[in-house]
Amino acid sequence: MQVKALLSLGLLAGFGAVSTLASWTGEATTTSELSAATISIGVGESGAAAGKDFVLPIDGANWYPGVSRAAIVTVKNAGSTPVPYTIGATVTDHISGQPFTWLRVKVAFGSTTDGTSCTGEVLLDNPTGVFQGTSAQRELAVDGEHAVCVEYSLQTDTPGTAQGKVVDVKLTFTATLGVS
Amino acid sequence: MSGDSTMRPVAKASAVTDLSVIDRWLLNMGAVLGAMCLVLAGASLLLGVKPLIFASGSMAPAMPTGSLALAVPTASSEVVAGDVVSVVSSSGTRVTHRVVSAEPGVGLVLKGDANSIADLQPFAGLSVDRVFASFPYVGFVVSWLASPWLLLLGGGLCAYLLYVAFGRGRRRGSRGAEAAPGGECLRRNRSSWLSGGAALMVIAVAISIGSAVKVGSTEAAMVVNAEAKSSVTLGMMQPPTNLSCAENGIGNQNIDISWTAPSGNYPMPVSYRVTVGVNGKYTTADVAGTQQTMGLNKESGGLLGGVVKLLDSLIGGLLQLLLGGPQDVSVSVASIYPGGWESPLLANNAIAAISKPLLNPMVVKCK
Repeated sequence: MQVKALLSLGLLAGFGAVSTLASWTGEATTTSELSAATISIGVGESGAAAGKDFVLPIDGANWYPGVSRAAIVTVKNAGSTPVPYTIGATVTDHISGQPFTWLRVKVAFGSTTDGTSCTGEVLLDNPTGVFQGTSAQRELAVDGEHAVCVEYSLQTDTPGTAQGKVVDVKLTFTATLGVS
Repeated sequence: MSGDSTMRPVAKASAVTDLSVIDRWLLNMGAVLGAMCLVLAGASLLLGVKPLIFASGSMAPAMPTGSLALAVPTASSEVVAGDVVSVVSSSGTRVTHRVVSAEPGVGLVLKGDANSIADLQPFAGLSVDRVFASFPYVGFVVSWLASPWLLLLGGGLCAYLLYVAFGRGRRRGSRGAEAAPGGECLRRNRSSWLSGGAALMVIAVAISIGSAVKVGSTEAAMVVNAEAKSSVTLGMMQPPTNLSCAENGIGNQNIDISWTAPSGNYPMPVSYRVTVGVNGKYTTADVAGTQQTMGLNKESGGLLGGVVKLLDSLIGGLLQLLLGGPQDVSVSVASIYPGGWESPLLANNAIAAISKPLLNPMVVKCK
């Protein structure tokens, strides 16, 4: 009987150990927070509906070295919970699919006054032609909007062999819940 | 110990018969659940088994929100695609996702079953926790049981059971021992030892309760994305057009080469690169306008003059060359655009000719 009583203590010890172990290995969450939120992120023009795909208003033919254009993209949170998001980008040759390193793409938390360059804190860029991973996380509140400025510029030392190429630029805004 | 072995059944039997049905039921239940918990806790401590509670639903339907999963530490190299692993992301959050691919050098590419895309960054760590069992909704129960109030209630239950087992039991045991005084000391010692042990455990448990008011969770991260994209087309720089030659002045010592700037929706050229050649020798210069006068004067430093000078300096000289007949003058022009891009060439291999009439100076004439 006394042994049984002592064993029953294991109930507390067991849960204590499980709880303690778990708190070593994971982020604390209480029962009330164990609910499935919905997350959704969209991009679009300022003031317009945001969707999963948006065509940036930076395009056109006859780009030559030194040309640069900038436009504003609005990131919106249409989910039920605040989410952090990151921005990733690729710049590729449309035909070969290979990275095209002469077009610089800059994403800034700011604005553009002249339509050719962005001001504000730089979130993501490829000064050497290669993006170093994705941008740092930024938190977006429910129904919140962030205006980010996107700038393309063709390097002045772009070789003449690049003439006539079509260059695809893709920015991916990724919202994650629970992971960086 | 001989006294103990003879007296123990007597004391135990008398105590058990004194217990109410409820007390006995509580004791049995507490003992079974407690033993289970101790085994689990022991496994956790000895084998490294980690209990994980899913706080989000990206691994649904296999592991919905509120699942309890058990994981053991495994080397990343032993993980294969399809395994569900739990890792700590760079931000320090625990994430449990399925392995999409495991490649040396890249790391483990993870993706939630309910996510449309894989996690952004592959996991490059050496060790992961591989999930070997999961139980839907058990996490809710465990999370609930580990709440401070429930632990307090459990603590109360344990205290009561200890009282039933040691407090009441010992008093009755003492009464029963009057029939055999020789064993009383031993029994008291044993009871004291057990009580001391129980007190230590209660203290340990109390510390656990104090420190473990939260249950850990694993966030099977949800990922969604949106894309903004566009394409730009790099221009094909256009050459000038209408390359023509005109006489300039008397004596046929100069010619005017002119061309027309390219038209269309292109940037204006910043300059033109003009190349003049005679008999395989060339001079090149960048010209701002769309017309260039070329003369035979070697000292002018002009394009044609440059070629003449070049040819004169060679063994035999231009004069020797001209004795064989007139020499064609070739001209090519390319547009130079902002950034230095050069258009294709507009060329005429025989736009003019240099000749040396007998007894007269060298002349250049358009063809």
